[in-house]
Amino acid sequence: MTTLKKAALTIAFLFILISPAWAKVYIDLAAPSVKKVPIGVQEFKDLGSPPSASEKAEREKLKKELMDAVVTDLKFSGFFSVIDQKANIEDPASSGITAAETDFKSWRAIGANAIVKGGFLVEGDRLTVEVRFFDTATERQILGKRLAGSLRNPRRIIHYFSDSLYEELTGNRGVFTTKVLFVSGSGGNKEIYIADYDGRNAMKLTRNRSINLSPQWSPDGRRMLYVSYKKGTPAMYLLDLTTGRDEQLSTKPGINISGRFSPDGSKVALTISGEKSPELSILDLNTREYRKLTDNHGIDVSPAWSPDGGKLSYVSDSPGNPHIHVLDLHTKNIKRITFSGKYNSSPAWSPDGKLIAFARSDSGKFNIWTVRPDGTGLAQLTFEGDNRNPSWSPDGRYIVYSSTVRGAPSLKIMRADGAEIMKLNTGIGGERAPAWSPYLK
Amino acid sequence: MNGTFLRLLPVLFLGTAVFVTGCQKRVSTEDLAGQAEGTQAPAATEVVPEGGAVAEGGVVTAEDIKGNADAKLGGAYASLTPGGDDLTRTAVERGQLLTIYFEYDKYTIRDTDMENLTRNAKFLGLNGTIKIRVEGHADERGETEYNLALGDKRARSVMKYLQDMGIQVQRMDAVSYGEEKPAIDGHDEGAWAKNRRAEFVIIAN
Repeated sequence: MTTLKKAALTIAFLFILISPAWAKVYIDLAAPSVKKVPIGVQEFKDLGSPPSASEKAEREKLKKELMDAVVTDLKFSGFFSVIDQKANIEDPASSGITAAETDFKSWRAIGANAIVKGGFLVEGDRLTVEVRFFDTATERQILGKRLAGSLRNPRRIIHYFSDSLYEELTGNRGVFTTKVLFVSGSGGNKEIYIADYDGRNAMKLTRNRSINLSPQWSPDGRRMLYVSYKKGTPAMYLLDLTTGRDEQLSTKPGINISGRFSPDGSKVALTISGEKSPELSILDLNTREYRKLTDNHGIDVSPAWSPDGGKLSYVSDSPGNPHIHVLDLHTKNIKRITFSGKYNSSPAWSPDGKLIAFARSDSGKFNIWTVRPDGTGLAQLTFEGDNRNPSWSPDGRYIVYSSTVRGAPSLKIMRADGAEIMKLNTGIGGERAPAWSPYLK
Repeated sequence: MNGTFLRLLPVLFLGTAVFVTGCQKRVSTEDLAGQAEGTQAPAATEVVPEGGAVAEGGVVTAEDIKGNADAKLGGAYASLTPGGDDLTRTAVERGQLLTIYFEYDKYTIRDTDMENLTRNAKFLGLNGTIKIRVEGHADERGETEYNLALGDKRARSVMKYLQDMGIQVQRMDAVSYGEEKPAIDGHDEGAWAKNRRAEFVIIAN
């Protein structure tokens, strides 16, 4: 990059900085492929002694895994376009991973405005990873960390770094160490799984070979609420994710479904039918007492708490077909907030409280929409396939949802404005009903 | 010009970006030294917490039922009581216990199904010791949780009607399977119409 060009770019950046109004428009209208920062990533260096012949394949695999996690996180951030490694000029074997040992000119030559370099050290079951992020224009390190973790989960170490990097660059917490719960029937029975935010490291949480549905996180990320038929009828259970202890939470006659933790974790809103009709109740987790919220002849399901805990958004068929409503828990006032669409379902309140995401269908195929809690500002986010069950990332920047295209369901993540759709490859298949975790550290 | 890069990123950040203005890098103890030192200066190593059993990739799944066979589920011939399956099969084959079908997103019993439901009531009236379970189902088009509620409503509509016909409520119970156990696999109205249903299963004799 020429000095002149550099100066021009710097001026452009300064202009963006000093004119925030213009900057906002710039964000809204940005064509991501044009505006993203090109970044180079170097192969991770083995900082230990040369591996024995038997270790060599494992080390190569580890190298690829670390690289893949870095690239996934960088792409997911939405800030970067990762330059194909094949374009890299600098030889990883002869260069180092510090600024002094880096030929920044060679990175600028391939168009990289930033680079990530790293190394790793394997000692028994322990994996130490060093990661550094550089600005190629100023030739300075922006962030460098040495992180130690388990060799069994190398990706977690990279996600940990990515959280730090994200915070360094934006001032906001990253979501790279968060997780997603989901349901898959790919093994013949619907069981619940947990995976990293990017779908990797998927693991089965239930193995009762009945039907397991609607996994939900406790606000502290330590427990999971879910519906299971393991004792024959749809009842609600609570699984402690740290100890594996499983508990029956609600086993009333009829259905015990669509449970959601209150933001303070002390209550669960749920639908129970008892001897009559599927109605909303709140179950106090301390007293184990139920308080009925709705009482009609119709269906009331899928409650979603407002972040302040004062309201519940839910689905009711009282207008004749399913629509989204908001119930004020203090005044008991119920307000209907959707008026079109034949079928409106699965409301999810954004973490900042400003939007409710939901799925709407006119034809049997759903799409994800958002609406303000007062019913204004309706916006459609997805347009292709059948898209359901939106769940917000804890920073409110993304939505994970289940998407069926040509018969095969999978999980996808999009930005909260509908842009940048990314498919999660869990390796399980047939994933549905995702629930994005809160921050887990 | 330090921090060109840092100036750009916050602008790209969607929403109310917190503007980290350039050069003041928040250095924490675990940060590796930057370029000033030039070398891999020894720095404290940050330990990545492993986040409990879940993050570690093992252990969890303590919930299971002891002696775990496939959990018993309903559906046409899979009642929860031994022998119930055969009784149900026989009654269905003889046209004594008929499945009731529903319109899309509805749980009222259609006039055309009243005759079948009346036959079911007669069978239960003639076989006073039989207890039944009514299983409510929905087609795949709706949403999972709503469909569970819909299946529950359908099963209860049927039970209410039978009760009005004089069948004691103690002889019946309801289970909803929502969209989870379709009678027919398929993604068209032909399959959906067969899947929106209430089935009868004999659970005790």
